[in-house]
Amino acid sequence: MIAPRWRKVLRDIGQTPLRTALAVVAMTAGAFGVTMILTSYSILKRELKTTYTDTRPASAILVLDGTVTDDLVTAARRVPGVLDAEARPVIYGRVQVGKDQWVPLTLFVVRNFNDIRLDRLKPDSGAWPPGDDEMLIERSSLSVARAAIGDDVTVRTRDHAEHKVRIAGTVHAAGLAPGWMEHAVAGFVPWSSHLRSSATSADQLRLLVANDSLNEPHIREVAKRVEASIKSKVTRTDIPTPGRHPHAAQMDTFLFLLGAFGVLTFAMSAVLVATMIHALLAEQLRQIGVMKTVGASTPQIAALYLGQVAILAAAALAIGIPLGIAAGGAYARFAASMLNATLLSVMPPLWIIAAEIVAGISIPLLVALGPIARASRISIHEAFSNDIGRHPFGTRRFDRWLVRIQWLPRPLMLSLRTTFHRRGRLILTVATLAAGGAAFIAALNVSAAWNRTLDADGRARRFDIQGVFSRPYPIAQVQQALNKHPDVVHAEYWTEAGAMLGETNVSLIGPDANTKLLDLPLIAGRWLQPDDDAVAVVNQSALAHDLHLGGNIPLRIDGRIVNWRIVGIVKELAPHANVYAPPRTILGATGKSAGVTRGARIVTRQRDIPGQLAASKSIEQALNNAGIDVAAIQSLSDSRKSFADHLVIIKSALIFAALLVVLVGGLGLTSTLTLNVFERTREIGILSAIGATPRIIARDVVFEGMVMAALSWCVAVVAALPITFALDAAAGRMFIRSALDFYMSPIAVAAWLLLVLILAALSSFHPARRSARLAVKEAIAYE
Amino acid sequence: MIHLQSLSKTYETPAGNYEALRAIDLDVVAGEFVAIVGKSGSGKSTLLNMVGGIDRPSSGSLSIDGKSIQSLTHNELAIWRGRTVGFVFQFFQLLPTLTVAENVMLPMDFCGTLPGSLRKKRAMDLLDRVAVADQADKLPSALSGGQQQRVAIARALANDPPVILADEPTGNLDSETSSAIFKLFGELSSEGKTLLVVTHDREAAASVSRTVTIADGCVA
Repeated sequence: MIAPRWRKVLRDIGQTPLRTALAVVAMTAGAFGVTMILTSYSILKRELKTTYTDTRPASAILVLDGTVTDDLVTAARRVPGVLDAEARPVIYGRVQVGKDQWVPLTLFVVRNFNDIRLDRLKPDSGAWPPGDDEMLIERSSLSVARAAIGDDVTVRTRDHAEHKVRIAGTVHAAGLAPGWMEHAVAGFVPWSSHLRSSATSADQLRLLVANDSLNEPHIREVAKRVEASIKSKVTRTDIPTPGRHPHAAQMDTFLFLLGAFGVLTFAMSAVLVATMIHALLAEQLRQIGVMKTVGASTPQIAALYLGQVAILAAAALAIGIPLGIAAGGAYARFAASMLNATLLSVMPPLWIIAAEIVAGISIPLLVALGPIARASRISIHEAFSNDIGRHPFGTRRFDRWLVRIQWLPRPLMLSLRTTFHRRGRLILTVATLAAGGAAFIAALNVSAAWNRTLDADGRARRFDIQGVFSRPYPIAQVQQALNKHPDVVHAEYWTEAGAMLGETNVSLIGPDANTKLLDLPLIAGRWLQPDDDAVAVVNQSALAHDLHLGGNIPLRIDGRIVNWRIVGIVKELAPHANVYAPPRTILGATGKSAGVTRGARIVTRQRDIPGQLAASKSIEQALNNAGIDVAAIQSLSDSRKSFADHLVIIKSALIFAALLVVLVGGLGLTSTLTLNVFERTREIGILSAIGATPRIIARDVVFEGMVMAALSWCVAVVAALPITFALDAAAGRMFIRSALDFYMSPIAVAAWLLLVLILAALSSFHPARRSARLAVKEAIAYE
Repeated sequence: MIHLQSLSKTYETPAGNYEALRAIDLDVVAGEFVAIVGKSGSGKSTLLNMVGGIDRPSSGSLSIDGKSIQSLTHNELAIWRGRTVGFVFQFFQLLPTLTVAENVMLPMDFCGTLPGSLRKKRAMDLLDRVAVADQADKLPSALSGGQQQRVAIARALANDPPVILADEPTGNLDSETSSAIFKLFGELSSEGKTLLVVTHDREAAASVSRTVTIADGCVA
């Protein structure tokens, strides 16, 4: 038999279904949000790691001068420290996607489709393996190629030859970045492909080291050993960051944001629980008094209410956890598609569920402990006297200040004074709403900061089209072709080269001394000047290499070391290091002649997107006619779009977080305000008794809700500042190695004000009307 | 049984200190039925609260059944109160979500006075005693005021306390019901219970063994 006091707990829960429902919904929202985020976080963390490592990613890629033969691969496999090796020649080219429209294409030549040793791919649909005049296409780039399985496409290789190739099927290569994000097509052809003999661009030998496969210096050492033992000359050795998916930076940023908003949601739901308990106890004080009178001790009373909280929390978990797991799984699937990964399982690890249950019960109990301890310790006298622990109105300075506001209608004055008098309740309500608001505003701020970073970078580059040639051509020849072209307003031919900074490849860019086409924002120092020599301006991503303003940057160019003084640091939307230097400095270091170029940056007459597109077609045609082989031509809007697509996943996390906050915060707001009105039932009864109409009462209660909402908005805006600042810094650093510029989005600030006011009005209107319609006697007797 | 010596109580209010009780001396012997009368605000209820351990005196001494209750801690006081004092309030103060029988069982539950299996029977006996046994499974809201007060009395008797304190127990009842309640108190007194009843009811005051008048915080 259940003891009467526990029956009281159960019946209190059952007797007030609406209030119980509100409390459970508020806690459920918290449990749901936290579970959802933890679920997607843990699934992605686990699955992305395995889907990537399951491909057996190569530890090192050696680009050979000669052909990569089977004998050479066998020799490489025998080198101590090498676990496996495989030939993977690469053909660079372009694939036609429309009339005069081409997108970059990378074709990997696979030695044996039935025994792929490294950087594995899996059949997705269609044929496997492909025939000699066929290719398999990475599934995420099918849309970029604007083709379907069975289509014949035209491939133009670097030797300028055009080939008809049939798309035999699609594959999933989890180690490659998704094609739609890169705006490029990746494909796979067999060893016997017609393309291979004529057009191989780079003979790659891929290696997997035996032990210590995450140790970069070790990998480099093994690669050197291989280089020494094979006969071919190695022109370049690439070591992909061991164990890191090519989109790991995006993933880190994404997971960080997800985690950060998980913490915010968690904090929000904790405040929400505190509000609930506060409201619950406020109503129970008289009953606590009665129970004490009949002999209940403080621990007995505390146990009753802690039990009640535990029951509500358990109910919230029973609903919130399954929903959260389902939603988290769905979101993880979506996020995985962004990274070209397939999830094998969308179940979170058991420890997540266990932790959720433990936290879901213990956090409400912990939050409740203080208020319950206080309430169960109050004396019977205080419990019956109805205004326990409150300073009578008028004893505090703020109250007296409020009394001086005389110009408001009297009922509104009453609402205002009531709002500010019940300070504990006010603080909790405002804190709940503000926590939600701050998270919402911060999410939109960070999203806007990304947009602005993208826009700023676009403004800094004032050309419309960038053409890259397959080999250097005399500038005079290029100029001749472009100067008379009707779409070209201005063109510059910068000096460009590659160099090594430590073990990292960096680009050396030498803009014209008086360039009109580049105006990158400076973080420190100055930009290049016409009479500069042996100096460099680096971007923020280069700072990761322990460089500083005024110091030297040690670069290896064609095996020789040069040291240039760093005179400036610029900010650009680039995750990799770029070094800007005067053209003559670069030419001097590389020993190249001054009159040639491998590219052109062009300002077009029509600067809008269709204009850029049309110009790039006709300019490519003109260059071809002038005997200049164009390897790639890209409009700036296109490259911007590609960068924007890389941000899609991060933005999705932010929007997802904002929506979650609106959901959790909205439910919290509704239940908090509704409970506030319940708490005021007796007061509303008195108002009715002295002649207030239901209409007036409803209006005043709604007003009170809106005052709280407006207050919370002010707090939210202030609280959003440090949160935004921290998120901008962390997310930016992960992705572009520099904090995003702080930006407070007026749209976010205004949207939250609107949202919180609407929610406040909606959630206080119904309970206000209900209370106003209660018979006066009922309201006054309300327990 | 009840021994008060120069008992005072002062409240601090925004308007200054307020002396609710001033140096009260009062002795009540076991089995006595005492009515405490006086004007509104004279300090009657404060006096009752002191005796019941609901509120603590500012100065003076207070002992019940030879035990000085000022020295008890908060929790000791709760246990002592549950076993020694039964309270009856003007507004009944039954817990709205418990049935009549459960309300009566609640003090036994808190104080663990009887084995769990016997509590229901004792509750029914007490309800029978106050003539509302037929209402045992109803919620308080379904009962009339008089019936609710009878349940409250049954609850006050649950742990068989030697002292019953009632604060205007008939203030909310009609005169017929009021006399019935006072009749019941008379019976309890004759069974040896000590009763202290704050009342305005002049007629009822006739059935008590002694009347103490309080005026301006002093025994008049």
